[in-house]
Amino acid sequence: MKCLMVLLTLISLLPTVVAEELLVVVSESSRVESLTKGEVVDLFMGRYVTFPNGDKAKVFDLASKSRTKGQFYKLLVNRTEAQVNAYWARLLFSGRSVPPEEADSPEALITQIKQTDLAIGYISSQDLTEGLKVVYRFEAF
Amino acid sequence: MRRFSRKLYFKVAAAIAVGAAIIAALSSFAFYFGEVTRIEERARADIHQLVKTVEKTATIAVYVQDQELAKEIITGLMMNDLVAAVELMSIAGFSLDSGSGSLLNLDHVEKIKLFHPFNETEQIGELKLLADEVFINHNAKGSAVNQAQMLALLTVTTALLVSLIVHQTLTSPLNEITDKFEEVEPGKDIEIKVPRFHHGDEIGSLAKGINRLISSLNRSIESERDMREKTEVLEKKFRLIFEQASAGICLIDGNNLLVTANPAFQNILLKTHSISDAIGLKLTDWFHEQEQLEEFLLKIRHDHNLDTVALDLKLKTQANSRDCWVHCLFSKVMDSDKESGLIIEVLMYDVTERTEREVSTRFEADHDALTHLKNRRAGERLLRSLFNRASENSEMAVILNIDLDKFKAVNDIHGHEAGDSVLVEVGKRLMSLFRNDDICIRWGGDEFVVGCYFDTSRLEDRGEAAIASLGEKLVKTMSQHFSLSDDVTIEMGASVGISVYPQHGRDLERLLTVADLAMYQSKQAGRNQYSIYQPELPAQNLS
Repeated sequence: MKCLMVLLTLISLLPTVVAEELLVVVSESSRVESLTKGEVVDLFMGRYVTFPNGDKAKVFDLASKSRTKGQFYKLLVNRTEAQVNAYWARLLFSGRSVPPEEADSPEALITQIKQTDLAIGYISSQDLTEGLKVVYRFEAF
Repeated sequence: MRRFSRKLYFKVAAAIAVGAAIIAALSSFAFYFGEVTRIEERARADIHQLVKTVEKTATIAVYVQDQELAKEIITGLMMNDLVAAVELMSIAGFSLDSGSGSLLNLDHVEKIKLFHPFNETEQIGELKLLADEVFINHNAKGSAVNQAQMLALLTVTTALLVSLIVHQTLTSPLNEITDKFEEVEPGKDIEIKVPRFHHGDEIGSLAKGINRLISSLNRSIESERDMREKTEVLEKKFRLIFEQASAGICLIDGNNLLVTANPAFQNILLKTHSISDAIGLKLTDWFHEQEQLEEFLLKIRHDHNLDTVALDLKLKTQANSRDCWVHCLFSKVMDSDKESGLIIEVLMYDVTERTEREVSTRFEADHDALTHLKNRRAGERLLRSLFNRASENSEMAVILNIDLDKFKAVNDIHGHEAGDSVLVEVGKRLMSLFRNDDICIRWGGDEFVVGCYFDTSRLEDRGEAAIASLGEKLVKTMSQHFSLSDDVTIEMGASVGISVYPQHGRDLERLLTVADLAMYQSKQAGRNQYSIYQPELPAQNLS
């Protein structure tokens, strides 16, 4: 009984623990309303350069060594940032595919997204502001 | 010298070479296929590894639809000699190949499915790789052939080495011995040298054994030769005896067939039978009394006490040829076991002349030269034995005393030759009238005596009549005319006196005397008649 009590207490505490959520966002004016995880993967890993609806996509990434970036790729493709970099290094050779453009900070990324309808990027839920539209939400950490 | 191909060391080398060739061929063959398989498997493993090496990059190229990267991959793979063709296919869009078309339906294609790099369940493409079979095969075969050749070379070298060793240690020394052995002639002393380094082994003992054999053979040949020379001398002597003997010599086997015969024997046969080669013919066929002779020979063979028997035998002769008598000696030939063999030796002399001489001498001694009747001396002996015979059998004998009538007149008128003719005629008539066992004797001059055996003991029963009949017949026969020549006929006649044993006497003199009396009675009664002695006649007439 005591054990059960402890468990219940832990569960009630969870929402406060999951304070930070990762969100994939586009500009409010984008025609894209929502994306599946696969579609997000295909965009961020350079498979497709357009949204499923055919709009050209401009993908933004965070600068290296950002905690959020590490989390994002972990959740998205279960790879470390170094692995993702290595992946892009192979593709760079042919020159056809290019990695997402890196923004120096989340703020800069948000600014970039707001500026163009075709942009897509990821932010921490804490940084969600007006003018952005969430198209994919990572359910749980 | 033997032909090269029949020599031992050639045979051994050939056998080893053939064996080695077969082994080399078989092992090279097996090795070759093993090697080809091994190398091909190795090539496939290499190809698999190659595919695995580029898998990741290919996945990414397919994932991002990067044809440049895909081409790089294909070009890279094609650099490898093992690879004949490559195809990289993306389910979403492109399909690139190395220029040889789709590999979809070809065998021996190494395929690998390419999955979504971030979602392992979604297949996004496929990498196909065709191995260069020609190259692999060529490689594999080249290597295998090399190896097989090495193996074959090794085998052949070993075979050569083995045959060389065999030749040096075995066939070459054997060859020496064989060559020397071929020079060996019986009776000639040749020593076979023991080959070097072989004194202790089998080849050495072979050579020594041959030497021993040769010397012992030579010794026995020498003694054999001596013996043969002696035997030849002996044989020559015996042959001379056999060939030159005046006596006929032959051997007969158990069936009385001639086994061998000398020339003298053949000559005797040639005289009587015109047989030039008698070997194999039956001896007894040539003799009178053949059956008795055969029985006699059988007896000799089975009687242990009877070894040599002499017999005088008469040979059968052809018509119109002389009688031939032979004196034969039959001897059993003993074999080495001292048991009487079936072979009998026959020694045969031609005794015809002697026998004939004997016969004629005996005839002359017993017979009257003119009439060929018995003479008086033989006649007396024969009459006595006639009486003995009659006495033994309790029978009678009859004596007929015959005196020719008027014979003196014949001599006087016609001469002594005519008289002799008459006497010869009388002899003929007597011999035709009386039986063979009756005794007809010329007693002297014109006086004849005949003795007859009568098989009836009593004169009174039937004998008197028979005697009377005989007397009548005799008188009748004697009284027939005799034609001296075509125009001279002589009248003949005889007075006969008859006495009977034992009724008229028991000794010859008495019986002759009384027969004489009876004859005088006939003469007195007028001649040409017979009279039987009558005991009651007056005694004064006896003288």
